Amino acid sequence: MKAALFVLGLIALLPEQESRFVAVEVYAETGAVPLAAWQIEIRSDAKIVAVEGVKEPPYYDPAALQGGRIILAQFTTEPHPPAGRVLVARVHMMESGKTDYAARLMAAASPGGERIAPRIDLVRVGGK
Amino acid sequence: MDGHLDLLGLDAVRAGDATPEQRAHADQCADCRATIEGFRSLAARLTPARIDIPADVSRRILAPKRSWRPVTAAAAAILVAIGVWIAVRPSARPMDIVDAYAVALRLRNGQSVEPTWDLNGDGKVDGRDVDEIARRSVVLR
Repeated sequence: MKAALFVLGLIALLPEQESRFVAVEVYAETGAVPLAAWQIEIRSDAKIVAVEGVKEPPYYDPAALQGGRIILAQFTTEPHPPAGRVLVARVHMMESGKTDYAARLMAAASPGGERIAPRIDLVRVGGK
Repeated sequence: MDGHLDLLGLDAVRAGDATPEQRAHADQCADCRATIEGFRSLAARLTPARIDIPADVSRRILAPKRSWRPVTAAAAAILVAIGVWIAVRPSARPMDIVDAYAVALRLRNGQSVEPTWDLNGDGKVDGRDVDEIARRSVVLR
């Protein structure tokens, strides 16, 4: 009985796997080419809890929330979209333990519709 | 030689290849005729019996053999056709956000848009179809 209580006490003292909320900023590196449309897939071990756009929220499948994979997309028909290192979206995640993130460009276009292939960067913000 | 035909002469008579002298001797000599008859009998026994081959077997054997060339040519033609079809077929690429952007751009500029983009089936291509293209682009599968 004493041994069982001792073991239970040890278990209670073990640090809990803490969850933490972080944001992941999604950047497209287009160089000098303006970015008119983009579609990016993000995969992670964390749970997706919310998606934020820059001017407008990007398109995404609501079924992706609470999961670890999401496809984000947006376009603009304005005549002078941004170029260079463009922040396209911010994804809020709930991490538990060590988390990896990966992004994949699915499609992108410059004004006029010519397809381009910007580099995609993810920047984790917040958390420990 | 004892006046009779030797073995070659006897067999020449049997086979019909004998000289007139050999034939004349055989006609007059009972011993030689008996030996020739023995040869004929032996030759008849050694001749293989006639085998009747069924007609359908003969037909199959004598029928012109099926050549592999037409089959190979047909297979090659099919492969070429498949290759050409793969090369020229319409793109099997799933729609993506660039399609939505392209349609939105044409609508904004007042340009015609292919009716195939009428995804909601309301008889016209408009902003709702652009939204639908964008939504379908991000659906998780």
